Amino acid sequence: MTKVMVVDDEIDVRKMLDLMMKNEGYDTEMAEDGSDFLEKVDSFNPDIVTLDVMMPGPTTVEILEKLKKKKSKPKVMLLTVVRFDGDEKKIFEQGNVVDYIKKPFDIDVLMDAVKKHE
Amino acid sequence: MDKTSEKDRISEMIDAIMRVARGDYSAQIERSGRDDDLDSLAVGINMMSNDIERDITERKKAEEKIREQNIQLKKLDELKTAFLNVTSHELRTPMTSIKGYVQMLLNQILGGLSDEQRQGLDVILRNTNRLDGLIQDILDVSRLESGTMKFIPKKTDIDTLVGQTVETMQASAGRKEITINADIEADVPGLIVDELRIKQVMTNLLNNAIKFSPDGTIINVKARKEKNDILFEIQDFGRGIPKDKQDKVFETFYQVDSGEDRKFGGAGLGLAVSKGIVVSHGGRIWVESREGKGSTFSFTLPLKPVKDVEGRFKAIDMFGLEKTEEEEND
Repeated sequence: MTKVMVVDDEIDVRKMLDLMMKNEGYDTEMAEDGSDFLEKVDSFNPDIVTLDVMMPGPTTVEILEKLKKKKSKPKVMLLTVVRFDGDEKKIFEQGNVVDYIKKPFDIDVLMDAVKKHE
Repeated sequence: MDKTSEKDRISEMIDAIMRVARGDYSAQIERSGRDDDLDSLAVGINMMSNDIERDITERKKAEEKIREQNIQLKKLDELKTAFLNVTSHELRTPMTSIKGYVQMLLNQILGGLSDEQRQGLDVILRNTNRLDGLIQDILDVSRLESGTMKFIPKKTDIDTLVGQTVETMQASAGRKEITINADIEADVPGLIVDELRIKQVMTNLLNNAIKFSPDGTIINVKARKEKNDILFEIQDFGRGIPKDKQDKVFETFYQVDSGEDRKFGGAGLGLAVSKGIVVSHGGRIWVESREGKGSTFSFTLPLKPVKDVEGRFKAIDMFGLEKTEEEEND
């Protein structure tokens, strides 16, 4: 079964994403910020991670840097309220970022993207 | 008068003038007390250096004041940008949960729905999207105006761009039984533009066309090569725009008829944002309209992309400030 890890500091968004993934039959795990994610990632060993951009604690670039040193090599989908451009482009050069979804998102767009990278 | 002291005085004066010329305005010549031409010259040089010194001091003070004001304005601008960024984040985060759960409910993931429940949720979803669009527009206007909007130009196929945009608008056109006809000239060349931003322009124009079209009418979307540009046209057969208001529709927060427009929704930002995006790409945007007959919104994009897309929008006069200045000068 495909394993999806949901990383978001907003509890409502986190639980909602978790529910969406469970409903599609994915095995899920949640993390409330970058540090929490990095702590849990190796033991859960997800195939896909939905990673919120702009959380308290380590920045997205720092999280992706540290993820490189982990055993687990999940595909990373970024969820963000801002459109990526300019400096943020360098985020994509880090680690296994495969996609980004703008928030608020269409459920179909999100689930299609997850399926594509499954 | 003895020749030596006369010579000395002249060289003293030359020395003083040279000091002034080099920017030392403290140069003063001691007066001889003799009532002669050289003494008048000395008085003149003293007055000149005093006057220049006073002028320069005043100018420096004024410059310092402007510099301080600039720093203040920059701080204010940074504060505004930070405020907008935080606001957009704080507004969008709750909207993410609202939109997500409404969609889950609508997809009946969380249980079956009655028709009334479905209709209610449709309204919530539509209005959530409207709010999101509004936040986006406010941010875009602010970015265009402050020169911080980022563009990512890349090779874009016009047929695909227009086709995809029309496709996403079919649902809202369908609700009013409006038909959108797309007529793209064969072999229309591709452009190097920020595809998402140009789609945003087309979406804005199509949205307006749908909003102001009577039920069951048609909207024509055309794209063709014209000289050094690609010309895009969106034609509707709606209520049209009075002649005196045709230029104003591209201004921020402008609504042709505030009462009517409020009924249709929208804050009067879409066209201002569209203008900013088109002008940034080196194009033009305008409207031709006859009241009661309909409107055609047109915009061009140059075949040869402008070099400095991101630099250009800094020159855009989003709020008509330059015009006001000109008018003041008249």
